[in-house]
Amino acid sequence: MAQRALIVGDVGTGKTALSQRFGLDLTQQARQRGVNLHYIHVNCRQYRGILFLILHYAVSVFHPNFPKREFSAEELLNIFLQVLDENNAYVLLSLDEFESLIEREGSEAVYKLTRLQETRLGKPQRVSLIGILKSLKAIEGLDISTRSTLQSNIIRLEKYSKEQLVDIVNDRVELAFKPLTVPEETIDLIAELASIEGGNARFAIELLWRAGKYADAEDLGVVLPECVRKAVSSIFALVKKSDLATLSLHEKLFLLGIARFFKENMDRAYASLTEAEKAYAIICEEFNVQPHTHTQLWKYLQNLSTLSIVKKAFQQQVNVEEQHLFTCRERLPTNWKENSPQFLKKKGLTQTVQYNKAHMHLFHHILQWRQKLANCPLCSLDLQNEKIFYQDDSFIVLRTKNLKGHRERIMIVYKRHQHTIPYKAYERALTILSQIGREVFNYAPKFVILDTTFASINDHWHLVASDLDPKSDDFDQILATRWIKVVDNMYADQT
Amino acid sequence: MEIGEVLGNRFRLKILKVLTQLRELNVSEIAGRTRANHKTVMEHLKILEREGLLQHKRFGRIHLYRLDEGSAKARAVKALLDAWGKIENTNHFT
Repeated sequence: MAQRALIVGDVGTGKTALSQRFGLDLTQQARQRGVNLHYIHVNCRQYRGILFLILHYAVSVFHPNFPKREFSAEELLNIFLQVLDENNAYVLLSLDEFESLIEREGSEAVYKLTRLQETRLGKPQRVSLIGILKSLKAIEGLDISTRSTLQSNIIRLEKYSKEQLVDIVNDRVELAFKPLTVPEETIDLIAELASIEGGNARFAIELLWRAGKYADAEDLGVVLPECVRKAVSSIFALVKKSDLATLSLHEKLFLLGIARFFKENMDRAYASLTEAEKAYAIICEEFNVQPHTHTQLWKYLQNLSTLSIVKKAFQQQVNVEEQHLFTCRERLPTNWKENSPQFLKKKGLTQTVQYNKAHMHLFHHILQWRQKLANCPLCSLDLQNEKIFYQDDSFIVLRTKNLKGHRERIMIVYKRHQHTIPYKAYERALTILSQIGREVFNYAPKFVILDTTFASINDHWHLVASDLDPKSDDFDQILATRWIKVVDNMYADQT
Repeated sequence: MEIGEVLGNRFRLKILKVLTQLRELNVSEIAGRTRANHKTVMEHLKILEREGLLQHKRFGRIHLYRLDEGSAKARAVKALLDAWGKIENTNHFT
């Protein structure tokens, strides 16, 4: 018999792990009994909460090249059941980040999923559901009949206590570290920090991993509490890098616009879409790209909201209190058309976007990056006053600002602010630098192209070439640096 | 049909090759990958199905074609194309 269950709990309480473990055990049990059961785990947020894409993923488990076009979600649902019938298969469909689906598709989609067996009287019940969500609040917006199908089996996972976190971290230490390399006080600090972070075990595990990496990088042999502190400053507990990676260029620019607005208006909890749009237009000007239309930005906002990077709210008038905004939001329909700018305008509502305070540090990080970009000496070279030896679309070869006691010292710089470049470009850069170096260093028998071990600018790709003068200021450094290439001026083709 | 007649057509060979590599595809996708129009592809798919090399499943408006794994002819063609592919790959790297 098909079942439905909800797993509810805060971030890092083990909801996903529980579901996956259950799925694995159930699949094994089913196999032993000769039942063709599949556990399919779908992260709804990854599919932007779109039922069609979620179902497509489920179908593609059985037919990997199933076409994406041509179907409605309802048709795909029927196809999914047809596929299961044909394979005599049963599925435990686990919908992680269930809120995304509810927010995007509303009651209709959830109703279809939960009631799909009812139209198949007399046929095997093929699909069981697990909904994984942070809070039951998300399902309060659903209509009564949909809600009633979900509320029979609810598993609530409580936040981990500090003691439990210590156990979890100890377990991971045993699995991943050599004995006696992670002292008790380090484990205690990790558990303490994760406990403050809302009993988040995932945060604790990531802290441990990062702290281990810092210890490795510094060749410490022991993971000290200091490594944990370094790790903390580099972790964002709530934002996944993968979420940001899924954004398109204009979504990122729009996000940057929002970030800048709140950076400049620290006292504001909300911004209107118009304000965000203005900030975005300026960013587009800076990046020299054509801004996208208002409707497009509306869609971006929907997506950013689905990813929980911004929170949407609706208000009757500007500057009402946050609580009131949330109340309004709860009562408003989640249907796209009814939430469209035209609809809101008719109702005299203004759409607003709230900068999620939890992500403040992330935006600051983006801004810092932009700041770095603006301050990068290699990005802001004044070419009029530099000695340029070579230039093309990608690279520029010039004399370094500081010759460090050498007669000549040159570098090749990539024209864009990037930390790494493709391998082919790298090879080409080496060839250019070798050729130019032969002319510039013609007074010396040999010159070297150096690794960037001691480079003061680490985030903009460049390579330095230098002669091997023992009297130069940085000769010790040159000896301590890895030489990428030694070019012998005596032989034209031999390096 | 004789083997020469079935495999002597370049479109049919392309279809068999693409289905050997990707296992299962819908008609538009096969047309795209073999650079043939929909009508031509349909004709060849029907021939290959009639000759017991392919089978198809229908999902609403979509028809998914694959090699008929139960057919000895299809298995033989698959073995031939797999072996041919391996030889081509080896030549590519030598």
